[in-house]
Amino acid sequence: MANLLSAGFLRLWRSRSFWVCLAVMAGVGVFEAVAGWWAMMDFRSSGAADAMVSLDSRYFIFPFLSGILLSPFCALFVGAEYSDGAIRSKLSVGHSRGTVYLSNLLLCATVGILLCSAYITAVLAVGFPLLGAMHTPLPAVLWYTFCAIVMTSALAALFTMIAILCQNRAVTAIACITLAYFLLFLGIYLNARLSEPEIYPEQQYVQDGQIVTEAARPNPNYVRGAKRAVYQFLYDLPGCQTVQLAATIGTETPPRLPLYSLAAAFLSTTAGILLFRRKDLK
Amino acid sequence: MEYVLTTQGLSKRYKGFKALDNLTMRVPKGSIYGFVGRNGAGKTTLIRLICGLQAPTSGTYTLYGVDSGQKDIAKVRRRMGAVVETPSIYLDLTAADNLKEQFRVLGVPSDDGIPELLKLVGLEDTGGKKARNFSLGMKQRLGIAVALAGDPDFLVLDEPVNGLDPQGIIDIRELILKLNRERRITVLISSHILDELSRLATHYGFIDSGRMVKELSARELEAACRKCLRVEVTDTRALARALDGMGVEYEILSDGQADVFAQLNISQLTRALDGEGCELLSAQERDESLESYFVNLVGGASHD
Repeated sequence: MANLLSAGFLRLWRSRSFWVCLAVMAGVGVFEAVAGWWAMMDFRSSGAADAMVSLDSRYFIFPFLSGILLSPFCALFVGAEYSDGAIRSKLSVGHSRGTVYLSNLLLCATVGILLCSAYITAVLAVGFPLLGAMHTPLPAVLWYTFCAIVMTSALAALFTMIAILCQNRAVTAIACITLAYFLLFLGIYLNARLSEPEIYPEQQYVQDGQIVTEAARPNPNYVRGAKRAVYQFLYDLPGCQTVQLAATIGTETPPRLPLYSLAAAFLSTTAGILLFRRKDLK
Repeated sequence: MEYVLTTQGLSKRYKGFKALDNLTMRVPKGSIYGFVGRNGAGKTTLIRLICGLQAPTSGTYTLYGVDSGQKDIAKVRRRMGAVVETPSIYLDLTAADNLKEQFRVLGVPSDDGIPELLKLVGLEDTGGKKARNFSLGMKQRLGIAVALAGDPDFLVLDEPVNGLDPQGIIDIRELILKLNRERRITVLISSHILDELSRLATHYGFIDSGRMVKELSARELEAACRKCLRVEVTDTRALARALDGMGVEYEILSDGQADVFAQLNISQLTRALDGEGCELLSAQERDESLESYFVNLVGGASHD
């Protein structure tokens, strides 16, 4: 395993796509901080309060980006093992399929963490001097960051599974990117459905000079029972979690989220290794 | 005789297709084993199995005496280098970087051996050129260098000269001979380019429809590919009577052609044919080539 990781990190260091992804994450971090500063300048010139733009809202964007960028990276980096045939030489010199799988997983997870770090470093380095300190308490920021990094690692596990089990690099890339966007949009949809109020509160409005009072009534779109449990379960999955993390900024990020991410990573890795062991390689 | 690789009743079945059917073969230590068969005969499937890329449906194989079912098979594979179908090289890395990668995969502590390996395969001057920009022959040689990184005793090459130009074919041939003679590496080469194999192989295995049709040494093959005299006459029935009278072995090929398996005195044959009222039109000495031996062996028909 150590040998495979050593070889993998050497290749990572020489990988152009890795440096491009890292540069994109850092670049977006800088852009967000500068864009925030421009917005703050606009608000100031119009006499609005500075607090409308803070470093917080710029900082918490990175889980959206890390998953989206990680999907093509994992597909191309791991897919090259098949397209360039390197996986054959690893197996034919005696490395087990389990270690080949895990080494790729660790590399992809590391890249995920590095992508997050690149954004965080860039947004904080430029954002602090321009926008000032964050308003969210430090423990909440650290917990959010931890949850986001665990979720990115879980996504790396999902993408690694796809890339290892599919021998066609182009199909792998399409599958990983589609999955990343699907989970993101599913998260947005589930967030909207789960945020529906159970009861529309009593409303009063004036109509034709009369005060009309509408009594509180149940919301027909409110998701109930088993369906709500399923929706909530899906909403907790990595990818969909991105939206939930963003929605809980400033409040308490549920402690179950990293547990769900770890469970998803564990299950996908176990299934991936079992299937990979049985797979006929060309 | 000591064998590097043996297979016993090895079979591999894909959905509705039997790629290997009860294959038994033995690769002697120190040999260059030519694994001959048509496209789709099962050559690459066997190589995939012994490289651990696929599992056999039934049967076993041994590498250096270690059975494929034993855990130690993974350790033994470290004594093996392989180029399966296409060279296993990262196209976005240079030749030296590809070897560095493989050295790390193998846990070789120092990169000192890289220049020597590059020189061995004739790629010492490629510098910063990415493997993507290599010619097919250069990629093939780099693939062999990667396979040699672990200093193997057994090299498996799947169709190593496919698609190469004449110079590329000569380079690969000389490299294989050098590795076999100077480093005592046993080489298993699968190919359907018979002429090329005949310049290299010390042993042959002929495979057809997943089955081993014949296994023999180059010496045995030479004996089997008998020299003969191909004669063209006006009447082969008369020729047969004349040859029977001379007590010579022959084979009638057509109404006017026959192969005679003996050193004949042409004047004597002409006189004998004259007596039978037949004329000798031409006589040509022939060696049966590996190609014709192979065609006779597998003959286009299946071996059910």
